Amino acid sequence: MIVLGIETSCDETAAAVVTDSREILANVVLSQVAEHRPYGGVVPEIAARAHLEHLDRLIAQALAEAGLTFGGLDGIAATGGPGLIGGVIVGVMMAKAIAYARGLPFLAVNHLEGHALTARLTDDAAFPYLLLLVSGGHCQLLAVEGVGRYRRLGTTIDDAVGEAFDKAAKLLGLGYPGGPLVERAALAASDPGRFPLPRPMLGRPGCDFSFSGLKTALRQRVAALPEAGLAAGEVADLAAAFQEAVADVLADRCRHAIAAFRAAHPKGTTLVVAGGVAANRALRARLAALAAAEGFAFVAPPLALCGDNAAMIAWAGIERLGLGLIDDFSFAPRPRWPLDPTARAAPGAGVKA
Amino acid sequence: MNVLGLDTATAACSVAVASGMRILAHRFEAMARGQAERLLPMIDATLAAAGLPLDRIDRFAVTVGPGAFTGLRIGLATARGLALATGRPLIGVTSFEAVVHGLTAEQRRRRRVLAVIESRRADLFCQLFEPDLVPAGEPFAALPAAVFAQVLAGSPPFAPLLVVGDGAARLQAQGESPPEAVFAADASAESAAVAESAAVVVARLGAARQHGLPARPLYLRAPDAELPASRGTPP
Repeated sequence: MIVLGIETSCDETAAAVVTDSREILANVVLSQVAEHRPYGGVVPEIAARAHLEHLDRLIAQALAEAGLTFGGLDGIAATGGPGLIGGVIVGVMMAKAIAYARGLPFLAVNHLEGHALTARLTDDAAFPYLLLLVSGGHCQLLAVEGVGRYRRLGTTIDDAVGEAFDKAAKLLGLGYPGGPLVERAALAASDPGRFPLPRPMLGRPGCDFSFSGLKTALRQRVAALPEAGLAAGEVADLAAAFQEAVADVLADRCRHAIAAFRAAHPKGTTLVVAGGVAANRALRARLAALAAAEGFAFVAPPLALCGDNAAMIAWAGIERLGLGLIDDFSFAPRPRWPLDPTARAAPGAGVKA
Repeated sequence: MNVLGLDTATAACSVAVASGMRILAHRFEAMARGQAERLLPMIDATLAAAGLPLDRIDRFAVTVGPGAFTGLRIGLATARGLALATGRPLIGVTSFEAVVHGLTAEQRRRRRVLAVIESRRADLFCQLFEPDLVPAGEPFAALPAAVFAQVLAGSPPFAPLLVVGDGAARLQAQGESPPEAVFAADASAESAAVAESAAVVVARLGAARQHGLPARPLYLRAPDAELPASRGTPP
């Protein structure tokens, strides 16, 4: 079984070809970072225009790299949401058109399910497993019980963790996108302890997250420094202090989630991290240590599959196709699409929960 | 030459199959939203009514705008997907062309034609055509009160001008129209008739043209985005 995947829900235009024997035959990602950087964040209309401009060419490129034509495919999968609707629509409509023209099944994939199932593509992780999903738009802990079966254990009640990194990078004058820049700056730190920062939610019951207080504390630390602008050493120490605070919070919340997950799924023994923030090496190391201490296996995707990509969409499409979960051509793109529809809303987090 | 024409650029969804200038089948549904759900099923129904499978379609044609932000992307992404998957060419038709080519020769006799497309913002999208439908100027976006000054600059006085398109009513409502402008009482009726047949016009133009526009969107305005005022401001 070979599926073409399409991803257009945020600022990456991507196409990939993946097989049911876990082979990624092609994985093409066109980042729009340069187009959005002057604005300090993703501009929805610029993103939508770029997706339409490039997607057909990227699909052709992915097929060429895979050495296939449309005739060699068994299905067309596209991100159907959640995300920026102007982009999701481009991917969904092009996927529907190709599927219709070639008589292939069309698979509308939840973008978050793409991240959630990546550990099965890369490491053949068995259900159930505990998932920490951390990206620019999300921060959730989920029990992954099967394809399409998720139970949310915790969520951010305000900012997503990737969003917190972006805001921290902006406060430190590092630029956009913030995650990799904060990580790199923190490598040069000599004394992260000289800027104490709070650990929101640490020690509280449950598995929810909060990052807005941490961002405010960082801003106050920056404001308290002399006017002349931040010295490189200060930026490095502040970046490291911020990253360590995030690591402490993630580890604490995951520890609670492991306890809750164990109680519900005694056979589950794997902690999976996914999403763009999963590329942060310091956070991966902290989570790996936690998993080891708890007797859990730890799975983190290779760096290239942490951020948004189409291979994960193709893989989720393969999983769904295998179960006969095929979508209709009348599928409507879904700007909101929670993995666990029964989870209560977190009012401060909006679509991020 | 069989052509499948699509239009989702304004407040409707329409599909037509043309064999040369002859329309074999067409479907039209008025809708401000929901084209993403309806377009493929309508394509399937139209092809079935025309009695042609998709592999008998020689070309695709689609409206490239200007028009509604989301609708435009739905039609273009679909058309580009069909062209990619079949290896058949895709012809782009502007929303202005789709409107003015829907007029009869009688309707535009000795009248230049101003096509006005609704932007769903303050401004209107406009383009002026000669009676024979050769463009008399570049497309532009302007506030209703400024449209006629731009259109009539340099044109002979009192040359009759027929105003058509889904933005015609709003242009008329601004109240400062010159005497030479004809919003045929008829304008709204003519416009409605034209909107209904947008895909029909698009399919016929697709069949008639040797080389169409590339199927790239025509936006006429920059994306909605403001550069930050200064660096280092609190998020």
